[in-house]
Amino acid sequence: MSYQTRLRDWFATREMDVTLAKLGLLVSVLLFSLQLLTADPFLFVIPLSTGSACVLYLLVENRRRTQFRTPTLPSHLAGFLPSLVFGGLAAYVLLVWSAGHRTLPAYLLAGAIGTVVLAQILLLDEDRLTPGTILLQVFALALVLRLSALFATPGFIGIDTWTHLPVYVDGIVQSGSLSAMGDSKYVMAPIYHVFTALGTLVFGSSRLALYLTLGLVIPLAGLFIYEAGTLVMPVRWALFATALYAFADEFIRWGLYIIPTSLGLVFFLALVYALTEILITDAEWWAVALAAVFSLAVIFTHQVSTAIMLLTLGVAAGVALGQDLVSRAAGFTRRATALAALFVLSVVVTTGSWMLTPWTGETNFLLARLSLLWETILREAGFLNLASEGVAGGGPAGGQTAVDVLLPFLELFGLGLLLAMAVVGGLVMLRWDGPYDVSLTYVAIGAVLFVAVFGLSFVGVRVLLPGRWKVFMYVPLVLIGAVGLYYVTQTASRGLVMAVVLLVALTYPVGMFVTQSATTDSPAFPDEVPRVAYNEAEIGAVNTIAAIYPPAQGTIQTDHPYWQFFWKRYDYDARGLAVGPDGVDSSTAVVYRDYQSTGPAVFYDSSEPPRAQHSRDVSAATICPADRDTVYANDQAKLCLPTPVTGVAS
Amino acid sequence: MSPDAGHGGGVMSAARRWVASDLALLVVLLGMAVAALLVPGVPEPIEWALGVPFLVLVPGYALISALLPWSDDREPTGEGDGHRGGDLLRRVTLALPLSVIAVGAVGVLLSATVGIRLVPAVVGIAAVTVLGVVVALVRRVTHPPAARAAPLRESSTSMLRLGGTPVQTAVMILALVALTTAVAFAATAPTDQDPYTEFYVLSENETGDLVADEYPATFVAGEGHTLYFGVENHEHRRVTYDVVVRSQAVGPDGNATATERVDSFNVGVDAGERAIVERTVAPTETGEPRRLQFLLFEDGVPSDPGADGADAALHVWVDVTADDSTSSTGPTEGGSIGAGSAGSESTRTGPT
Repeated sequence: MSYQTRLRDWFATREMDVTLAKLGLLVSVLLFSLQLLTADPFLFVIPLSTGSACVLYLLVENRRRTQFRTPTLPSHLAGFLPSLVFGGLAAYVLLVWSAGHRTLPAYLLAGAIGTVVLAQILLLDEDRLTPGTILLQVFALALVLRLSALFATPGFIGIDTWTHLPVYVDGIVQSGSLSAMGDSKYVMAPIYHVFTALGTLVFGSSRLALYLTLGLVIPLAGLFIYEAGTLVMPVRWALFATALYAFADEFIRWGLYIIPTSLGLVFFLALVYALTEILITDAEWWAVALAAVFSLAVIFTHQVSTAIMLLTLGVAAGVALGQDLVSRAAGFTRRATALAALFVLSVVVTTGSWMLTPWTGETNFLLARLSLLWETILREAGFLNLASEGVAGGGPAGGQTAVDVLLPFLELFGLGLLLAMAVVGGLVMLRWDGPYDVSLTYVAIGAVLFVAVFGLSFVGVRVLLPGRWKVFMYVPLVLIGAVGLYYVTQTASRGLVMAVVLLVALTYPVGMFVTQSATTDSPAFPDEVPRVAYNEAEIGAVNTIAAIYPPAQGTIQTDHPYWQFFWKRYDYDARGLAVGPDGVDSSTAVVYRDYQSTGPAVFYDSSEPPRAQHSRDVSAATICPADRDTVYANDQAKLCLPTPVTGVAS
Repeated sequence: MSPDAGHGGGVMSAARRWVASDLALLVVLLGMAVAALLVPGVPEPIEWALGVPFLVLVPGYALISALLPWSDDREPTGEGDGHRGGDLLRRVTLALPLSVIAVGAVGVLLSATVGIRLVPAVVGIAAVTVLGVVVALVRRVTHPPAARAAPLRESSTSMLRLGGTPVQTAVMILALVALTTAVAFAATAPTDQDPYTEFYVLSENETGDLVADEYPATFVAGEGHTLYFGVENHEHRRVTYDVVVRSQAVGPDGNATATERVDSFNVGVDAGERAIVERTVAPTETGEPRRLQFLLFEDGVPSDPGADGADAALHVWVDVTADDSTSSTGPTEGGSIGAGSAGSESTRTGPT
């Protein structure tokens, strides 16, 4: 009897999964009760998801495999569903084109299309389930969703892209050298910029190059979920995991906001596939070589992705070495040795690279980050230190409507569903018949990344940018979650299976498609969520103001997120506009845009620390009062300056 | 997986026939892309259509072919649910990140040597691809024919079958054509971006640059200062703009108590163009302070022009005195804005 078999039996005979499910239920109840201390939507959604998952598992864990057939779609209907998907996508494209941007009806249509895709995966008869047709639909929807947003939005979506492309990439193209990035930290992690620069030479425009290369590669990297999934679970469930990931809000986000994080994610997905091959093939050399290449690619692409990659590799190596140690076998297995070697290689290369990476002219990146992390832990860490990462999360307080109150929970609905499936899957994987090494590794990686994303946030440690870790955490979650639903369909009653399948198919796609992360270009709830993209007039204002009022002239204040455009694109000393009882700071330039009066842009108040307030609550006359000079205007924006003339009536 | 895990003798000839077809296709694609990118005069859509696989597929596919010269048609773990999918999908999937890495490595090498330019970049990427293809071919022939990688072989591509009845397949193809047509239409048809006009007033600073700052704070009645008016046309059509300059006395409530029309002019600007108009602004009514107001009209000046009816309204606060002893006159020679410079002509136009 192999060690894995013994371990699995040990879990089974002691009913460890049942014990863990009961423990999970208890912890969920305790977490839920923390709402008495703080009103954070995560503390509502996470315990509700994990608690429901534990209850579901306890309901079905002791059932035998179902003796009845899982419901399937009638064949005369099922055969036309792909046509419905592609036809629906054609309508979606025309809908976005006619509106000029993505709208709530477009998101609802996309959600309906996603439902049809999931319904096929979950309910098609085995004989009719053709992976090629399903994958074609999944990735057609994924690509259309992302590319329609990219090409319908003037300029770039997001914040940092305004530095990465117009400054770094265009600089490389013009100078022909990486030296154009100066002392940026990306001189030691240049793959994104160099690749896009070569693309710019081919396409003539960095924007077009980015969208036609990485804009395609990023969503298609979801295929690695399928490739990894088919190594550990039946095809249907590998397809399901792939669709879950392709439709996930955070994965959509990084396909719209295409920066080095996005490319780091591509290499991370490839690495997870390579790690799975290492575990499945007992570390054949080609799998190890691929894992090494993708690990190094992450290191030379993006620093935050590197931290996540190191953690993942460390967990994988730790699980493999731990199994070998517990099994008391002589020596280590090939896979444990390979994973440990990969981890050591990555740590060494990362350390060397970060020691050489410049950081704010004072010290190197490695020391700066470690120092900052240590300071953060000492100064800020504390239980339930849940101060928001920024204003984008739930919007400013005050004058809240019903939508304002419900929106944070709607935002987390898809994540909650995914988490519930993953909890069931994690419990299943402790005792199921699938590849056990892979199961333990996936569960351990998922658990560690979950703690990194939510655990550190709960105690106030956000220096590692946990918001960017979510999309990486989703990788093990969708794979484990697919196993979870697979198990439920095998063991639960017909009614329960149909309820769960319908819940997932009907709500997961649209729940994910309307979130803030998936709609940064054009929020589904435009009155509550600010867009992090700009129209032609707003972009024109920034470019012209940079020419006529260059950064050397002084500080610029405007709303969030508009101020970051000035900062990222032209290196202004820009800041979010503070509006106190006496109006705005009269000593600096202020940029007003109509969106401040019509949309949910954000200003700050004069308290310490500053609190966010809706820009709509502040009149345009307060932002640009008549006693200041108004020296630039277009149809959407204007620039106001303090006047040196005294005695002006306010 | 064993590299030598072979197939039965019945597929031997098929395996031989298909053993290099994927690499042959790859080389053809590479040749077409190189030609499209290096030969002048190739239409942009063709360059783009070939440029995409050239950057994100071709070099990576060659590299993964060199790394994996044997076939891999493993069946899925667990209960059967149809065919897992073929070797081809796995290779294409792996080719995507490997292409990005290969192109990135070529770029870093070029940066350190001849510089990042189109021709060396195309040659470098092509060289990586050819090297990968050669290694893949050599390694494939070292394996038994039945075990060699043959991604285009039928068993490897069976996952691409569509399934369904002929009618269902036909309808699906029609839907795919509709989707392709919709995408092509959306990509080529112009969208209705909101038109807009930019209007700004500039002064010349100490270094001779035109900036939206450092305006003369004091005017002597009847004596002018030079100001520059920028108009950028994003209306998608030629527009003749009218500009009215007024000087206003303003009461404590912020309303104008007296208005003097100081200047007016018009300027025609083509779509996508910018005009910088140099004017001498000379208010005659005194007051401390006075509001110098600049109004822009796209469709002619109304009989009673005001900020409310203007398409854009700017203003600068100044003191207008009868005595020039306190004048803080700025320089009057032409300056520069961005890459341009103010010449002696009163109006200059150029692309925005």
